[in-house]
Amino acid sequence: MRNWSEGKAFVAAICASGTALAAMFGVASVIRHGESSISIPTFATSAQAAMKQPELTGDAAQGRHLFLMNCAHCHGDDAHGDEGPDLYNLHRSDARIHEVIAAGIKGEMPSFGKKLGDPEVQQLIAYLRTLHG
Amino acid sequence: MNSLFWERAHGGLTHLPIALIFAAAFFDALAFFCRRSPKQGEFKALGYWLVIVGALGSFGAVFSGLVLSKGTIGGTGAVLRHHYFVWPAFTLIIGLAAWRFLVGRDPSRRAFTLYLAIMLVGCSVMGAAGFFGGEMLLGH
Repeated sequence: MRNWSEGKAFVAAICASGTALAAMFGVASVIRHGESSISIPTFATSAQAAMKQPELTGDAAQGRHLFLMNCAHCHGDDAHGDEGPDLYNLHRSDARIHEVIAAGIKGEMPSFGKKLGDPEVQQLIAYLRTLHG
Repeated sequence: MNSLFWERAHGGLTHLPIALIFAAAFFDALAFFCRRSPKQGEFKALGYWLVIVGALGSFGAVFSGLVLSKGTIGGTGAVLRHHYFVWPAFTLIIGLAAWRFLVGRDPSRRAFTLYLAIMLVGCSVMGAAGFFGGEMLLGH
């Protein structure tokens, strides 16, 4: 291939990177559209969750932060489920929830035992206990 | 395929381009500083091919990340912080690879200096994207 002049290549490179970025945003849109046919889009749930979520304090507030960092991409930002199940109205003991978070579920949910300490798991549980309705 | 599959796929597909782009920057820097070395041409050739293959690999990394995040471009919290760096890094790497591909292995000294400077910025931004991506899995 005959080499381009550096200036011409610079313009072409800007076009290429812009096109690549636009293409990936297009792919994202297609994926979101596909998801929206079976569930509420992520941006919508984030906004709705922010509006509906009551003011949390203490452990529950910290737990919500941990939830958004670690759990939301499977359980949804609003914890109403996505890839993972809906976490509202959990009928499980604290000990059982602690066990599931720490050890995970083989083939379904990763273990968070090494990542989260006991106090953090307790904060997560405190947040999960606020999810009613 | 569940999110665990995509989490693993994203981890695997992301590290390949990161390694290739960092290696490309390393060999290009060697070529830049070893002007009189008989190996300079080989270093430049390595930098040339590594940045091109790395840029191609970055499409797989971004695609798997989009599937994992269900098409989220921005997001919230740690995902948003990761994305603040992912998109500029992706844009820079594709631009740099396209420029290098079109110009060839042996650009002028001045253009190569500018290329290396932007490559350094690209590697830093990509490193930050990787760091915050890892933070989502391993720490907070």
